Amino acid sequence: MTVFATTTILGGFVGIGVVASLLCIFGVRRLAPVASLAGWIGLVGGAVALYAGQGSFEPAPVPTAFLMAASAALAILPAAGDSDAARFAGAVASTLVAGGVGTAAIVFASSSPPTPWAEGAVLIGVHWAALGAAATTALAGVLLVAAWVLRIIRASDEEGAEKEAFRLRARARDAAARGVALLWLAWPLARMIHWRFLGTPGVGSRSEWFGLGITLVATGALLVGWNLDESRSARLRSAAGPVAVATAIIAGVWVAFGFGSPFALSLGS
Amino acid sequence: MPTHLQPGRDSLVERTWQTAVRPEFVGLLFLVAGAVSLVVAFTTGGTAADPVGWIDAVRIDFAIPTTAGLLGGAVILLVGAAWDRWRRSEVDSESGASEWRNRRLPLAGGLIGGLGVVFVLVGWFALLSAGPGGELTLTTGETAESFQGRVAGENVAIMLPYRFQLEGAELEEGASFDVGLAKPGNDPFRRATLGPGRSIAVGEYRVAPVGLSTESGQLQAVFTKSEGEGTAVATLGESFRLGPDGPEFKVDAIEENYLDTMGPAARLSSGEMSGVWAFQRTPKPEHLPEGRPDVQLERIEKAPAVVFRVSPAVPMWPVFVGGGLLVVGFAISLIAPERVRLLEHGEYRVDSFNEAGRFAVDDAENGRET
Repeated sequence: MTVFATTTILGGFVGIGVVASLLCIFGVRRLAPVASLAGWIGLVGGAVALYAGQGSFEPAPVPTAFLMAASAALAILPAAGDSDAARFAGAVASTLVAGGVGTAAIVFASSSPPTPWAEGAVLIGVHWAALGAAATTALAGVLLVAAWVLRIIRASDEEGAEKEAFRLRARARDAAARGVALLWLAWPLARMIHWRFLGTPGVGSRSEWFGLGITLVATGALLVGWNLDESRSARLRSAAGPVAVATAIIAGVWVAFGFGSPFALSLGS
Repeated sequence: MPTHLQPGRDSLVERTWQTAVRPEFVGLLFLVAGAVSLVVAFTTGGTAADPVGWIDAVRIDFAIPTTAGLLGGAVILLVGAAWDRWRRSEVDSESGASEWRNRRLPLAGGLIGGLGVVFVLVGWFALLSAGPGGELTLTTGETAESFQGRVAGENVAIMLPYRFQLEGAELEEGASFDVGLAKPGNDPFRRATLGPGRSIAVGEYRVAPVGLSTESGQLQAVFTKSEGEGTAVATLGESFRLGPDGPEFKVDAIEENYLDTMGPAARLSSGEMSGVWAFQRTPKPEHLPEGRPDVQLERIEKAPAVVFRVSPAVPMWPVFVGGGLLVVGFAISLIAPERVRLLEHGEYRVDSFNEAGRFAVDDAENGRET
């Protein structure tokens, strides 16, 4: 398959996802899973196709950049399924951040590996897009926790307030869960990147141990905050869980930057 | 088998199990395993004389079984928790038609995704347990019998099962490297042309070119003719021709500063002649002796050495299978929406991974969904 055909087909998936997401935001909620699935196929399908050599960075930078940034954004858009203002604003902000991260990923991927290794640079771009999606989804979870707490404080006597607050709490957990799942996706992507650059799935470097540790800590934080009981400790943990997940992901990427290497990868910059 | 367990009435095993499969306990196992991994990442600094960088391979003999054991335990408990839910969903759901879509399919999605993660993790731990890897730096024409690895904090030379030879390197139009495997004393029995990152199996190792180094490596000399076209590059021991019809020269020696005064020089032999010196500071052609072949030394430079990564050969299919399962599981979880249900004993049960589907809360008083 040519580069053009590959990016056109995958771009088509992303296009379906974008249209469905817009309809979703404006009220047609049932399309949200379609939007998310289409974006997901674009993100992972792009990684697999690019790994298999069906496309490389140089000939098609613009559609590739669009593909990655949009796929990262679509991974979190279902959180905007309802008309709650806080969640909608959070989702829009997250989309912009994901788009920015996706674009930065392309720039980073194009400049960091020395030629002639530029082909595999796109895999790194997809890896960054997955991390960007994980970070923005986890941030959406933090916003939802904030919305939940505000809901409890602001209107504790209103009719239906308790139910609404509970929904926010459950949605915060969902966003954190999705963030953790995207973070786990970065792990097999990292193995494929190592296979492409180093001929081995991994070398067991400090960077890889750090990446594994952050992912395990995020998973643990999510599970500790999983319970949606009404007991005091369960509510505290429900609030702390998504915040801890977001902190772990963002701290992980930040620290990896400080050491001069992409998150969980044993490649120099 | 009782569906709603009452502490105090059940056996110790049952109560221990019920505590262990709570998400908080499994989460704690994950947190501890994560903490162990982070400790490894931050405390392995090597020594001042030989620091271990962020992307260098490290072997931590306590961390691999500890982390693997904790994760194995956590995975078993997670599977147990999922199995409990699967069993209970059979009893708690209202009708058979919606049971799969509302409860079991998202659970299946999570399980499949989790299985994918397990595959990838198992592959990674197997790689770590498989023996040390290392690096190998070769210039064109060089042969290696061993590579540099680290065992128990020391740099050691680890033998390769065959001799590994870099026969040629093409760096102009996309990099490619011609390598050969040979038994001692014989010609290479296996040859391959590798691109960057592509590997070849050498016994139980995989060797892949990963970079270029100009620090190690031999000197190479660039030769030209005084008249006409023709340039050749050769390292010690190599032969070259200047132009298609010219005589073949062999490089016997390369000196950066001949006799400490005369500058860069190379000694060549050609046919019957030997001991012909070519200098960078060349006298004019008319000052050269009769019969001397027309070859000049333009410059001497460091030959770029190719850096190879040597790693124990482990199969790659767990990564692909695991990644695929992860994606499939995530997709299933997205497609199948879930519900919040208020059960009879007052407990809320939410099993949603994607709440953008129908997010419904049972209105327990009215007995209908909102």
